[in-house]
Amino acid sequence: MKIAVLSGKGGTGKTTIATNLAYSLNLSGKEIQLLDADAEEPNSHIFFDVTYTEEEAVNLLLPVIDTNACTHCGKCAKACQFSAISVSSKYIMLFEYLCHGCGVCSMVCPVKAISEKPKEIGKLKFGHTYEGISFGEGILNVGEPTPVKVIRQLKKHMISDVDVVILDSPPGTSCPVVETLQGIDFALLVTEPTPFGLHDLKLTIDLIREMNIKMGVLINRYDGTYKEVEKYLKEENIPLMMTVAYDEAIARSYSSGQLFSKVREEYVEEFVELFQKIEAMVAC
Amino acid sequence: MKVMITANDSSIDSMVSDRFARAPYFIVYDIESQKSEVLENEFLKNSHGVGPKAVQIAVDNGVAALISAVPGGNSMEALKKAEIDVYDGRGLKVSEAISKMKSGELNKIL
Repeated sequence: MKIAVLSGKGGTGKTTIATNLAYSLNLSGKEIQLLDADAEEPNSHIFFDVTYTEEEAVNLLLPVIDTNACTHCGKCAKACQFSAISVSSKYIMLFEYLCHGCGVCSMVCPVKAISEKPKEIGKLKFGHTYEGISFGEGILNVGEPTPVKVIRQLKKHMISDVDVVILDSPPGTSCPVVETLQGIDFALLVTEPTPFGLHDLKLTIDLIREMNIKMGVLINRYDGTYKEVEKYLKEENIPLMMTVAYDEAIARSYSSGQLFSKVREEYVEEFVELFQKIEAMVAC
Repeated sequence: MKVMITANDSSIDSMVSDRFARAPYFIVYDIESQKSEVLENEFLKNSHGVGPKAVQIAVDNGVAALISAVPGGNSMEALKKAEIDVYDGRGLKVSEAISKMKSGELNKIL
């Protein structure tokens, strides 16, 4: 079972929920892998005592142009979807930061003037938590334009024989989130009961519907005053899976980098029940 | 000599666009023959890399100068290599900008 925890809006509690879900399911005897796909700011590890055992570079293959061999035919520039190459009769130039490393330029070059060299854009780190959760994270180097390749490579390390793989997704609804969601069994959407949370939740729901993935919503910091999220979910026929209370003890545990399920132990059972609901939804 | 002007509309009486690669139209004007060709900017809605694409259009049309707003970093690099002069034509009509360039009254950016 592969579950992605995501939200449109930043700061709703994706990481809080992903980590507490991983912790609770592990405590209930399930074998868990937690992957932090929020490669621009991976911080799931802060909630755990992680022992790292492996590291792997993430490389982008950038074109290297042999200007002596280049005939300035312009086929590479036409083929490049990202305008990373510009060609005229006088010059050929590469815009490194526009290149996505797809390699099409070297494939279409009729005189083989384009080869490829690896450029490190980030890395992956793997290990396990003190509790025995298998842990991995993607880290994008500062200044790199997109974490998509980091996330793609991280997901190749999903372990097939654990009970649950939990992916902590980046925020938003663009390429990094789409990459995180590819091939996932269930999308758990974390929102907060505010107009801002609802606004961005709608965007995420649109995306998930387009990708045809089963989903449910968890409302974090729930105090029952703002009812619009529940109203919307009912109208749209999307299940509200669970709520986490607006609770000072939870806020305090978060602000000291602790898992709230350790202070509010009743949530362990709630997360286990949440997982049972997810299992039932995925099965049908 | 050919000049490319980024324009808000498809006519020579429209305003020079305040944007370079995201201008809705590119007008290629031949100073000798006084003929102009209007190109619609098909890359307007692309999220990335429109600057180099617009420069590529200028290159493919064999223009020697560009009248526009100030292009971005990637575009400037490509324009420099392509040896295309760049003039600031903001606030002017396309036709005015062309005559001002001819009389040397336009501010040359590159």
